[in-house]
Amino acid sequence: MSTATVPTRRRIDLPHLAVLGATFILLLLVWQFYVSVIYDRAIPLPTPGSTAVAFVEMLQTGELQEAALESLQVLALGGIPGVVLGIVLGLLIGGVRPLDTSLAPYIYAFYATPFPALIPIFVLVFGLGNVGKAMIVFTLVITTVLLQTIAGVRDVDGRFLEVSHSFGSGRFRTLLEVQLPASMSFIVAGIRLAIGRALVGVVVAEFDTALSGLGALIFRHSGRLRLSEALVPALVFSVAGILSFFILKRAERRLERWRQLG
Amino acid sequence: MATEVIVTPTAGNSAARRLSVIFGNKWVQRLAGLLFVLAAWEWAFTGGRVNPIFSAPPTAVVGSLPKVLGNEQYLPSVLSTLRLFGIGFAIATVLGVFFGLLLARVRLLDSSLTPYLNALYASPLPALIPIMTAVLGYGLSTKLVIVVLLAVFPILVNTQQGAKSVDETLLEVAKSLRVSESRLWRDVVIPSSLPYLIVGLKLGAARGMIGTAVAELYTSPDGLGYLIHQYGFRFDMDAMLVVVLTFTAISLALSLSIGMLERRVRRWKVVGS
Repeated sequence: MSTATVPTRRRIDLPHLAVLGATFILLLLVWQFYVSVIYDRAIPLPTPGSTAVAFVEMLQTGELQEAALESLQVLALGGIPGVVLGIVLGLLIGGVRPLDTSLAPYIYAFYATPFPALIPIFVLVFGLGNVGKAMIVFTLVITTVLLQTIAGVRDVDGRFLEVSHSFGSGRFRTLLEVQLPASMSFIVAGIRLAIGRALVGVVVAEFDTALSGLGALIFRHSGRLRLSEALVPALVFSVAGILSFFILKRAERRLERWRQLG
Repeated sequence: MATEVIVTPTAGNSAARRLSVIFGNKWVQRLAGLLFVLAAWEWAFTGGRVNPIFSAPPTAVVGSLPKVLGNEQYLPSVLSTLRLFGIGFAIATVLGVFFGLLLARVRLLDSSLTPYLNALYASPLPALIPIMTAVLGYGLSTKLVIVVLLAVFPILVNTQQGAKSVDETLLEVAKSLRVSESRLWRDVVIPSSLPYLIVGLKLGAARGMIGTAVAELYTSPDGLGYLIHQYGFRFDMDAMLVVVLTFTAISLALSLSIGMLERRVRRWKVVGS
């Protein structure tokens, strides 16, 4: 019996889960109490109860699924090409030092622009439809993934490259078989950051056009002061953000191992 | 590394050698990159490749600089944007540092609230803007809430991590010397969490600028956001881009100055350790 070697970190920490569950219930109770007892202004605030009711109703009418599908479509349409092109260009620019030096500062300057300021321009140029929104997502995703891929390739341990070189691999092969795998944790971090930015981009663009998607649903219900119904799609966005964040963060930690020598 | 240009001294061709030295220079490469970016931008927007209404090549953008900078609303707009960001970021810093330290110090708060704070950090909070404007109206307070909500979480989470990462031996030494709580904070906890705090400030400033842009464009137009809308109504793409570039310049200036602060603090750390 060698129980000492079993890593205890993996085990589920029951007391901690109990504390977390209790906190969650407490937070909901405080929220409900505040709205129904203390808050006394005319605008009806959502409560946990009313939000749950709104959620079920919106599922039954189907408006929630429909809007979620529209938003997802925009995200996929712009996001998938953005990720692929971001990785390819990132490998190219990161792998060729002079390209890195000459282009990376300008990509960074674009990345540093507070992107909501660009959204009216995209809507103006590409219209109110899905193309405009997908272009916003594409632009946000490609810059984020590109910069992270460049950073990953730039940071690959020099010894990996020496080994690859001394075994006679050319630059292209080294890029694909050494630098790409070693940069995977950076690339996944880029995708994680890109999803965060893309979700904000989509929701704001959907406010701007107010035609389709979860953002338009939030906008329309808020305008009629149906705030519980407005909160439901906002929570769907949150859940998407939180889930993608934690799943990709986990993947990043696993892939981090490929950066180190054994 | 293998990617650098190797100049062999045996090569008699000194002109080629001089060229490769010039093009190996970092600043020459950056300038070439800038020229390439501008040329590609100009090319894409001229020769009828884009509907002329939306065409905004760099030459036209530069051409509309005097018009935008000379607009009597430009300077007040910049100041209004800076004010919104400044006040919001200051509030976020105070709240983030206070609650970050509190959570690092009180075990029960830490274990019960941290996952929820991380969840808020990962949520696209601008999704709540229409609800906020419905409840709080379209005034300055709504805009400040948006900036603070976006900027506060990176500051809070990083301060918390910094305060938790204080070297245990330092804490033990301080305790065995019966150092008072206030000195413990001043001499041990705060100095060693400072690098984390600065990373938090950097991320918080970037998100705060995003919040500022969203707030000024999508609540009631104000500051630079108002200018973007104004030029947008006239389909004046060149002028819009000048305003967007103003946003870029503010963000870059912020990020560079916090980066300088970061290097300073790192140097202290190296000397101290």
